[in-house]
Amino acid sequence: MAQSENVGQMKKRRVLMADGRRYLIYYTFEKRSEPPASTDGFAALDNPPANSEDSEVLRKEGENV
Amino acid sequence: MSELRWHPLLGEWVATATLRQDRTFLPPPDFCPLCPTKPGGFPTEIPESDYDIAVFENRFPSLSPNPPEPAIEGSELYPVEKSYGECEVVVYSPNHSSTLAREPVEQIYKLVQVWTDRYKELSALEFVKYVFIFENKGEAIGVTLHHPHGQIYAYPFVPPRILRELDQSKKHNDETGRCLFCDILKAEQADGRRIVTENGSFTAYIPFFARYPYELHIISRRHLRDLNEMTPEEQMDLAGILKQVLVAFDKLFDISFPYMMVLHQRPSDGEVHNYYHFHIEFYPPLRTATKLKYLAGSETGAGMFINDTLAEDKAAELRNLIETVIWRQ
Repeated sequence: MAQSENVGQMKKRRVLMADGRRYLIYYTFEKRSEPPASTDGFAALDNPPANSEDSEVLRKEGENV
Repeated sequence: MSELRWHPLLGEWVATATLRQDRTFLPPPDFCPLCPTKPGGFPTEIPESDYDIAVFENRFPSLSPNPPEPAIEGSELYPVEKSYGECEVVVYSPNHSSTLAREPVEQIYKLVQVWTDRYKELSALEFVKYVFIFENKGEAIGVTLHHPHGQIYAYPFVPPRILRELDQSKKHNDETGRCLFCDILKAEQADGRRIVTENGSFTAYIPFFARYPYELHIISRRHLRDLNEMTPEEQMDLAGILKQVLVAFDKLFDISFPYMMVLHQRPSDGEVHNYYHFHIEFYPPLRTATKLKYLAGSETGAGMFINDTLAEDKAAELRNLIETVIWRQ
């Protein structure tokens, strides 16, 4: 039987594995509605730069927005 | 067969886990046990694909909440104990070909939250005295599955490396009234040559005393003892600095960089351990793009590491590869 629990934005669903002995926990997260506040070393963006690649979230130091 | 055998020469436990000899070894991608089960495909450890991160009990554990009776009787000279504990696998992503370095910073932030949850849950178990979160990455480290994942061992004792750090930190605290790690951070910041990157909550540096050429430590700037004491902003900053360091590692030799990553936190033994300080250590095995740093006679037999490089030079190499993290969500 699955057990579910919410911890903040994190949803935790605990089930038994196929062997019936071991546990498996699925963690899922709600999408944040607000971007995080910018702190040192970070740049928070509503939208990625137009020229960014799909999975790339980095920019050279100094080339940032 | 699984048990703890006491090492009387070193005063530490050795776990035997003979079932681990039969564990899955570098399966082809279609038979990866950590991928979500595909319709009509072979059943993996994870039946569903609707998750961000999955955690499960290792099929080949060296520690278990229900350990078997030891296969051999102990004695006064050779104590033997049942191997209580937990061994968990943390699957970072459903995507087989990803790595933690390639995951977006938002996913690493999710991982930090999962680590924190696992630390809290496992620390609460009566038989657990230390929760050890780590990742072995790359065949050079002996990884048997390529799917991006880490592990958690919940030990029934405080392991010897941690005990030694605790002893040194307590001694320093008794003598000076200060935290050893806070003093190291202050010294590294004052010198600056070994700093690789910093953000509002964390500093990454190659320590003055590095034993591996690219050994790197990430330390919290605030005196935190464990993951559980982090604010959401600190969790995000930890994700950000991890992303920066992991990407720099990959860029170093333009390969998916192998490493051992370990989280050092205070024990879960009921003591306060105010003098201890949360940090992460990386031990990459490469000293050049093609050469390994072997743990040979001096390192393994005597415990003295010989580092062929200078921490200041290696920090400068990595510092030049650091990029700024951009959050998308």
